[in-house]
Amino acid sequence: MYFYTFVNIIVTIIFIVAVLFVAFRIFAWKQGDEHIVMLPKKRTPFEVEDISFNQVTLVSDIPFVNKGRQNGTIMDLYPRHLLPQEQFDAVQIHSWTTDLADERHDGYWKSVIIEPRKGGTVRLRLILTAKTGNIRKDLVGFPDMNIDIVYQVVGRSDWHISKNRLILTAEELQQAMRQ
Amino acid sequence: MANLELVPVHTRILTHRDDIVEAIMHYAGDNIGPEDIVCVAESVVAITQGRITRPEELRPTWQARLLCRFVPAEGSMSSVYGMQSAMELDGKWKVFGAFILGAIAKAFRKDGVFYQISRAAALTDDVTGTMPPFDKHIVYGPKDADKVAERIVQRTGSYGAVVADVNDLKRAAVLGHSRGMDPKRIARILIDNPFGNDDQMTPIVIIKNFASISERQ
Repeated sequence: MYFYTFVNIIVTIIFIVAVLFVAFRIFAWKQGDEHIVMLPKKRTPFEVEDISFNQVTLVSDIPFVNKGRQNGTIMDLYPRHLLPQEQFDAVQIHSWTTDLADERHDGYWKSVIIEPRKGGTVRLRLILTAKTGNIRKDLVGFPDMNIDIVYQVVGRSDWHISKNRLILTAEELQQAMRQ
Repeated sequence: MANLELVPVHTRILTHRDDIVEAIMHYAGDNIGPEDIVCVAESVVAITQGRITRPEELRPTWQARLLCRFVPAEGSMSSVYGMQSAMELDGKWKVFGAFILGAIAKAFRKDGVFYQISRAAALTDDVTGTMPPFDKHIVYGPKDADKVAERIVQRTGSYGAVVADVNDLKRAAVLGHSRGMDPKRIARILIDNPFGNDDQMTPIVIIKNFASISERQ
Protein backbone atom coordinates (compact mmCIF):
# COMPACT_ATOMS: atom_id res chain seq x y z
CA MET A 1 0.00 0.00 0.00
CA TYR A 2 2.68 2.47 1.04
CA PHE A 3 4.78 1.40 -1.93
CA TYR A 4 2.02 2.27 -4.39
CA THR A 5 1.41 5.61 -2.70
CA PHE A 6 5.13 6.36 -2.93
CA VAL A 7 5.18 5.39 -6.62
CA ASN A 8 2.14 7.57 -7.26
CA ILE A 9 3.84 10.57 -5.64
CA ILE A 10 7.01 10.04 -7.66
CA VAL A 11 5.08 9.66 -10.91
CA THR A 12 3.04 12.78 -10.14
CA ILE A 13 6.18 14.82 -9.42
CA ILE A 14 7.80 13.61 -12.65
CA PHE A 15 4.65 14.45 -14.55
CA ILE A 16 4.46 17.97 -13.08
CA VAL A 17 8.15 18.59 -13.83
CA ALA A 18 7.68 17.32 -17.38
CA VAL A 19 4.65 19.57 -17.91
CA LEU A 20 6.52 22.59 -16.54
CA PHE A 21 9.51 21.80 -18.75
CA VAL A 22 7.35 21.54 -21.85
CA ALA A 23 5.50 24.73 -20.90
CA PHE A 24 8.81 26.56 -20.51
CA ARG A 25 10.11 25.28 -23.83
CA ILE A 26 6.93 26.49 -25.52
CA PHE A 27 7.22 29.86 -23.75
CA ALA A 28 10.88 30.21 -24.78
CA TRP A 29 10.02 29.21 -28.33
CA LYS A 30 7.26 31.80 -28.53
CA GLN A 31 9.45 34.43 -26.90
CA GLY A 32 12.19 33.75 -29.43
CA ASP A 33 15.75 35.03 -29.44
CA GLU A 34 17.96 37.39 -31.38
CA HIS A 35 18.79 36.54 -34.96
CA ILE A 36 21.38 38.99 -36.19
CA VAL A 37 22.55 38.54 -39.75
CA MET A 38 24.82 40.48 -42.07
CA LEU A 39 23.39 41.25 -45.46
CA PRO A 40 26.44 41.06 -47.74
CA LYS A 41 24.28 40.94 -50.86
CA LYS A 42 22.97 44.40 -49.98
CA ARG A 43 26.39 45.93 -49.42
CA THR A 44 27.52 48.97 -51.34
CA PRO A 45 30.14 48.48 -54.07
CA PHE A 46 33.71 49.01 -52.93
CA GLU A 47 34.85 52.58 -53.50
CA VAL A 48 38.22 54.24 -53.23
CA GLU A 49 38.29 56.33 -50.05
CA ASP A 50 41.93 57.29 -50.28
CA ILE A 51 44.74 56.58 -52.69
CA SER A 52 48.44 57.36 -52.84
CA PHE A 53 51.22 56.10 -55.06
CA ASN A 54 51.76 52.95 -53.03
CA GLN A 55 48.47 52.48 -51.16
CA VAL A 56 44.74 52.45 -51.72
CA THR A 57 41.93 52.37 -49.15
CA LEU A 58 38.63 50.84 -50.23
CA VAL A 59 35.35 51.03 -48.33
CA SER A 60 32.09 49.16 -48.51
CA ASP A 61 29.05 49.47 -46.23
CA ILE A 62 27.36 46.24 -45.20
CA PRO A 63 23.91 46.40 -43.62
CA PHE A 64 22.87 44.06 -40.84
CA VAL A 65 19.56 43.38 -39.16
CA ASN A 66 18.19 41.61 -36.13
CA LYS A 67 15.51 39.36 -37.59
CA GLY A 68 14.76 37.85 -34.19
CA ARG A 69 12.22 38.75 -31.53
CA GLN A 70 14.69 39.62 -28.76
CA ASN A 71 17.55 42.05 -28.29
CA GLY A 72 20.89 40.84 -29.52
CA THR A 73 24.31 42.17 -28.60
CA ILE A 74 27.10 42.17 -31.16
CA MET A 75 30.01 41.74 -28.77
CA ASP A 76 32.68 41.63 -31.41
CA LEU A 77 32.90 41.90 -35.17
CA TYR A 78 35.90 41.74 -37.47
CA PRO A 79 36.75 41.00 -41.09
CA ARG A 80 38.90 38.14 -42.25
CA HIS A 81 40.26 38.57 -45.75
CA LEU A 82 41.30 35.37 -47.44
CA LEU A 83 44.00 35.83 -50.04
CA PRO A 84 46.83 33.31 -49.70
CA GLN A 85 50.23 34.19 -51.10
CA GLU A 86 50.00 31.17 -53.38
CA GLN A 87 47.17 32.96 -55.14
CA PHE A 88 48.42 36.56 -55.16
CA ASP A 89 51.47 38.03 -53.50
CA ALA A 90 51.94 41.55 -54.87
CA VAL A 91 50.14 43.56 -52.15
CA GLN A 92 49.83 43.59 -48.40
CA ILE A 93 46.26 43.76 -47.13
CA HIS A 94 44.89 45.18 -43.92
CA SER A 95 41.16 45.04 -43.23
CA TRP A 96 39.07 46.43 -40.40
CA THR A 97 35.50 47.30 -39.60
CA THR A 98 33.58 49.88 -37.63
CA ASP A 99 29.96 50.52 -36.71
CA LEU A 100 28.80 53.36 -38.94
CA ALA A 101 26.50 54.61 -36.17
CA ASP A 102 29.43 54.96 -33.77
CA GLU A 103 32.43 55.22 -36.03
CA ARG A 104 35.85 54.45 -34.60
CA HIS A 105 39.29 54.45 -36.16
CA ASP A 106 41.08 51.92 -34.00
CA GLY A 107 39.67 48.68 -35.37
CA TYR A 108 37.99 48.02 -32.02
CA TRP A 109 34.39 46.87 -32.17
CA LYS A 110 32.40 48.41 -29.35
CA SER A 111 29.64 46.09 -28.15
CA VAL A 112 26.24 47.23 -29.31
CA ILE A 113 22.68 46.12 -28.58
CA ILE A 114 20.44 45.63 -31.60
CA GLU A 115 16.73 45.67 -30.95
CA PRO A 116 14.37 43.30 -32.76
CA ARG A 117 13.63 44.26 -36.37
CA LYS A 118 16.29 46.94 -36.27
CA GLY A 119 19.77 46.97 -37.65
CA GLY A 120 22.68 49.07 -38.69
CA THR A 121 25.63 49.27 -41.00
CA VAL A 122 29.14 47.94 -40.79
CA ARG A 123 31.79 49.91 -42.66
CA LEU A 124 34.49 47.65 -44.02
CA ARG A 125 37.83 49.17 -44.95
CA LEU A 126 40.50 47.43 -46.99
CA ILE A 127 43.95 48.97 -47.16
CA LEU A 128 46.03 47.53 -49.99
CA THR A 129 49.73 48.38 -49.95
CA ALA A 130 51.99 47.71 -52.92
CA LYS A 131 55.03 45.57 -52.28
CA THR A 132 57.01 47.19 -55.11
CA GLY A 133 55.81 50.70 -54.28
CA ASN A 134 53.35 51.23 -57.16
CA ILE A 135 49.84 50.20 -56.17
CA ARG A 136 48.27 50.48 -59.62
CA LYS A 137 50.97 48.29 -61.09
CA ASP A 138 50.86 45.75 -58.28
CA LEU A 139 47.09 45.37 -58.44
CA VAL A 140 47.30 44.00 -61.98
CA GLY A 141 46.09 40.43 -61.85
CA PHE A 142 44.38 40.81 -58.47
CA PRO A 143 41.97 37.86 -58.19
CA ASP A 144 38.54 37.58 -56.60
CA MET A 145 39.06 37.79 -52.85
CA ASN A 146 36.77 36.30 -50.21
CA ILE A 147 36.20 38.32 -47.05
CA ASP A 148 34.42 36.82 -44.06
CA ILE A 149 32.66 39.11 -41.62
CA VAL A 150 32.97 37.28 -38.31
CA TYR A 151 30.79 38.34 -35.41
CA GLN A 152 30.08 37.21 -31.88
CA VAL A 153 26.52 37.64 -30.69
CA VAL A 154 24.77 37.04 -27.39
CA GLY A 155 21.08 37.30 -26.55
CA ARG A 156 18.75 35.33 -24.34
CA SER A 157 20.68 32.14 -25.03
CA ASP A 158 24.33 31.15 -25.39
CA TRP A 159 26.79 33.35 -27.21
CA HIS A 160 27.77 32.20 -30.67
CA ILE A 161 30.04 33.18 -33.50
CA SER A 162 28.69 33.54 -37.02
CA LYS A 163 30.21 34.63 -40.27
CA ASN A 164 28.97 35.84 -43.58
CA ARG A 165 31.05 36.03 -46.71
CA LEU A 166 31.39 38.69 -49.34
CA ILE A 167 33.62 38.75 -52.38
CA LEU A 168 35.70 41.57 -53.73
CA THR A 169 35.82 40.57 -57.36
CA ALA A 170 38.61 41.49 -59.73
CA GLU A 171 36.13 43.45 -61.83
CA GLU A 172 34.80 45.39 -58.82
CA LEU A 173 38.34 46.33 -57.82
CA GLN A 174 39.14 47.50 -61.33
CA GLN A 175 35.92 49.48 -61.44
CA ALA A 176 36.73 51.16 -58.12
CA MET A 177 40.25 52.02 -59.25
CA ARG A 178 38.93 53.64 -62.44
CA GLN A 179 36.68 56.05 -60.52
CA MET B 1 29.85 82.87 -0.24
CA ALA B 2 30.80 79.44 -1.56
CA ASN B 3 28.35 77.53 -3.71
CA LEU B 4 27.87 73.84 -4.17
CA GLU B 5 29.85 72.88 -7.25
CA LEU B 6 30.19 69.54 -9.03
CA VAL B 7 33.63 68.98 -10.55
CA PRO B 8 34.05 65.93 -12.81
CA VAL B 9 37.59 64.60 -12.91
CA HIS B 10 39.02 63.10 -16.08
CA THR B 11 41.15 59.97 -15.76
CA ARG B 12 42.72 57.44 -18.06
CA ILE B 13 41.05 54.02 -18.26
CA LEU B 14 41.42 52.42 -14.85
CA THR B 15 41.93 48.67 -14.64
CA HIS B 16 42.36 45.92 -12.06
CA ARG B 17 46.02 47.02 -11.82
CA ASP B 18 44.94 50.32 -10.28
CA ASP B 19 44.05 51.15 -6.70
CA ILE B 20 41.01 53.40 -6.79
CA VAL B 21 42.13 55.46 -3.80
CA GLU B 22 45.57 56.11 -5.28
CA ALA B 23 43.97 56.90 -8.63
CA ILE B 24 41.79 59.53 -6.94
CA MET B 25 44.84 61.02 -5.29
CA HIS B 26 46.72 61.05 -8.59
CA TYR B 27 44.01 62.68 -10.68
CA ALA B 28 42.13 64.79 -8.14
CA GLY B 29 44.25 65.03 -5.01
CA ASP B 30 45.18 68.68 -5.54
CA ASN B 31 41.57 69.68 -6.02
CA ILE B 32 40.06 67.96 -2.97
CA GLY B 33 39.55 70.07 0.12
CA PRO B 34 38.32 69.36 3.66
CA GLU B 35 34.81 70.59 2.82
CA ASP B 36 34.41 68.43 -0.26
CA ILE B 37 32.83 65.08 -0.93
CA VAL B 38 34.55 62.68 -3.30
CA CYS B 39 32.17 60.60 -5.42
CA VAL B 40 33.38 57.69 -7.48
CA ALA B 41 31.47 55.57 -9.99
CA GLU B 42 30.65 52.10 -8.71
CA SER B 43 31.57 50.30 -11.93
CA VAL B 44 35.07 51.76 -11.86
CA VAL B 45 35.51 50.71 -8.24
CA ALA B 46 34.40 47.21 -9.21
CA ILE B 47 36.80 47.13 -12.15
CA THR B 48 39.75 48.20 -10.01
CA GLN B 49 38.78 45.42 -7.60
CA GLY B 50 38.92 42.94 -10.47
CA ARG B 51 35.24 42.17 -10.12
CA ILE B 52 34.60 41.46 -13.77
CA THR B 53 34.03 38.39 -15.86
CA ARG B 54 33.28 37.52 -19.47
CA PRO B 55 30.42 35.47 -20.93
CA GLU B 56 33.02 33.09 -22.32
CA GLU B 57 34.12 32.27 -18.77
CA LEU B 58 30.66 31.35 -17.51
CA ARG B 59 28.75 28.07 -17.75
CA PRO B 60 25.06 28.93 -17.53
CA THR B 61 22.96 26.71 -15.29
CA TRP B 62 19.39 25.71 -16.06
CA GLN B 63 18.25 28.13 -13.38
CA ALA B 64 19.89 31.04 -15.24
CA ARG B 65 18.44 29.89 -18.56
CA LEU B 66 15.00 29.71 -16.99
CA LEU B 67 14.96 32.95 -15.01
CA CYS B 68 16.50 35.25 -17.64
CA ARG B 69 13.52 34.57 -19.88
CA PHE B 70 11.23 36.37 -17.44
CA VAL B 71 13.28 39.57 -17.11
CA PRO B 72 12.39 42.51 -19.41
CA ALA B 73 14.84 42.96 -22.27
CA GLU B 74 16.40 46.18 -20.95
CA GLY B 75 17.65 44.60 -17.71
CA SER B 76 21.11 43.15 -17.21
CA MET B 77 19.49 39.98 -15.89
CA SER B 78 17.68 39.40 -19.19
CA SER B 79 20.74 37.75 -20.68
CA VAL B 80 21.64 34.26 -19.58
CA TYR B 81 25.17 35.41 -18.73
CA GLY B 82 24.00 38.40 -16.73
CA MET B 83 21.79 36.10 -14.68
CA GLN B 84 24.52 33.48 -14.35
CA SER B 85 27.02 36.07 -13.16
CA ALA B 86 24.66 37.08 -10.35
CA MET B 87 24.33 33.40 -9.45
CA GLU B 88 28.11 33.05 -9.34
CA LEU B 89 28.19 35.65 -6.57
CA ASP B 90 24.98 35.08 -4.65
CA GLY B 91 24.49 31.38 -5.32
CA LYS B 92 22.06 29.94 -7.83
CA TRP B 93 19.48 28.85 -5.27
CA LYS B 94 19.47 32.20 -3.50
CA VAL B 95 18.90 34.00 -6.80
CA PHE B 96 16.30 31.40 -7.78
CA GLY B 97 14.47 31.83 -4.49
CA ALA B 98 14.74 35.61 -4.67
CA PHE B 99 13.20 35.53 -8.11
CA ILE B 100 10.26 33.40 -6.96
CA LEU B 101 9.67 35.70 -3.98
CA GLY B 102 10.00 38.72 -6.26
CA ALA B 103 7.40 37.28 -8.62
CA ILE B 104 5.00 36.62 -5.73
CA ALA B 105 5.59 40.13 -4.35
CA LYS B 106 4.99 41.61 -7.80
CA ALA B 107 1.62 39.90 -7.87
CA PHE B 108 0.83 41.95 -4.77
CA ARG B 109 2.16 45.09 -6.51
CA LYS B 110 5.38 45.28 -4.56
CA ASP B 111 8.24 45.83 -6.99
CA GLY B 112 11.97 45.35 -6.53
CA VAL B 113 11.94 42.45 -4.04
CA PHE B 114 14.13 40.29 -6.29
CA TYR B 115 16.82 42.96 -6.44
CA GLN B 116 16.56 43.69 -2.71
CA ILE B 117 17.32 40.06 -1.88
CA SER B 118 19.89 39.39 -4.58
CA ARG B 119 22.23 42.38 -4.44
CA ALA B 120 24.46 40.83 -7.11
CA ALA B 121 21.51 40.90 -9.49
CA ALA B 122 20.91 44.56 -8.66
CA LEU B 123 24.51 45.67 -9.11
CA THR B 124 25.72 43.62 -12.06
CA ASP B 125 26.15 45.36 -15.41
CA ASP B 126 25.87 43.11 -18.44
CA VAL B 127 28.03 43.47 -21.56
CA THR B 128 27.74 46.93 -23.17
CA GLY B 129 27.12 48.36 -19.70
CA THR B 130 30.61 49.79 -19.33
CA MET B 131 33.03 51.63 -21.57
CA PRO B 132 35.64 49.90 -23.75
CA PRO B 133 37.60 47.74 -23.13
CA PHE B 134 35.14 46.52 -20.49
CA ASP B 135 32.15 46.64 -22.84
CA LYS B 136 32.74 42.94 -23.52
CA HIS B 137 32.74 42.14 -19.82
CA ILE B 138 30.11 41.68 -17.16
CA VAL B 139 30.95 44.04 -14.31
CA TYR B 140 29.86 43.06 -10.81
CA GLY B 141 29.09 45.64 -8.18
CA PRO B 142 31.87 46.89 -5.91
CA LYS B 143 32.90 44.99 -2.81
CA ASP B 144 33.00 46.68 0.61
CA ALA B 145 31.88 50.01 -0.79
CA ASP B 146 31.70 51.60 2.68
CA LYS B 147 35.31 50.65 3.39
CA VAL B 148 36.41 52.05 0.05
CA ALA B 149 34.69 55.34 0.92
CA GLU B 150 36.39 55.42 4.32
CA ARG B 151 39.79 54.81 2.71
CA ILE B 152 39.17 57.68 0.31
CA VAL B 153 38.40 60.04 3.19
CA GLN B 154 41.50 58.96 5.13
CA ARG B 155 43.78 59.32 2.12
CA THR B 156 42.41 62.56 0.67
CA GLY B 157 41.32 64.37 3.83
CA SER B 158 37.96 65.12 2.30
CA TYR B 159 34.79 65.75 4.29
CA GLY B 160 33.24 62.57 2.96
CA ALA B 161 33.21 60.06 0.14
CA VAL B 162 30.63 57.93 -1.61
CA VAL B 163 30.53 55.13 -4.16
CA ALA B 164 27.63 55.93 -6.44
CA ASP B 165 25.61 54.28 -9.18
CA VAL B 166 24.27 57.01 -11.45
CA ASN B 167 22.91 56.93 -14.98
CA ASP B 168 21.37 59.22 -17.57
CA LEU B 169 17.86 57.98 -16.76
CA LYS B 170 17.70 60.20 -13.67
CA ARG B 171 18.56 57.31 -11.39
CA ALA B 172 21.15 57.76 -8.67
CA ALA B 173 21.98 55.53 -5.72
CA VAL B 174 24.75 55.62 -3.18
CA LEU B 175 26.08 52.08 -2.67
CA GLY B 176 28.65 52.92 -0.04
CA HIS B 177 29.60 55.98 1.98
CA SER B 178 31.89 57.21 4.69
CA ARG B 179 30.59 57.91 8.18
CA GLY B 180 28.25 60.86 8.56
CA MET B 181 27.08 60.98 4.96
CA ASP B 182 23.41 61.09 4.06
CA PRO B 183 23.23 58.77 1.03
CA LYS B 184 19.80 59.98 -0.12
CA ARG B 185 20.91 63.59 -0.10
CA ILE B 186 24.09 62.81 -2.04
CA ALA B 187 22.07 60.78 -4.53
CA ARG B 188 19.80 63.77 -5.12
CA ILE B 189 22.83 65.99 -5.78
CA LEU B 190 24.14 63.46 -8.33
CA ILE B 191 20.81 62.88 -10.05
CA ASP B 192 21.83 64.71 -13.26
CA ASN B 193 24.76 62.34 -13.73
CA PRO B 194 27.80 64.63 -13.45
CA PHE B 195 29.92 61.55 -14.26
CA GLY B 196 28.75 62.01 -17.85
CA ASN B 197 28.75 59.23 -20.37
CA ASP B 198 31.47 56.63 -20.69
CA ASP B 199 33.37 58.43 -23.43
CA GLN B 200 33.96 61.42 -21.18
CA MET B 201 36.03 59.25 -18.83
CA THR B 202 35.14 61.17 -15.68
CA PRO B 203 34.53 58.47 -13.05
CA ILE B 204 35.30 60.83 -10.18
CA VAL B 205 33.17 63.81 -9.19
CA ILE B 206 34.04 66.23 -6.41
CA ILE B 207 31.18 67.97 -4.66
CA LYS B 208 32.89 71.20 -3.64
CA ASN B 209 32.03 73.16 -0.47
CA PHE B 210 29.52 70.57 0.76
CA ALA B 211 30.40 70.93 4.44
CA SER B 212 30.07 74.72 4.68
CA ILE B 213 26.81 74.73 2.76
CA SER B 214 25.44 71.96 4.98
CA GLU B 215 26.28 74.05 8.05
CA ARG B 216 24.48 77.06 6.59
CA GLN B 217 21.38 74.97 6.05
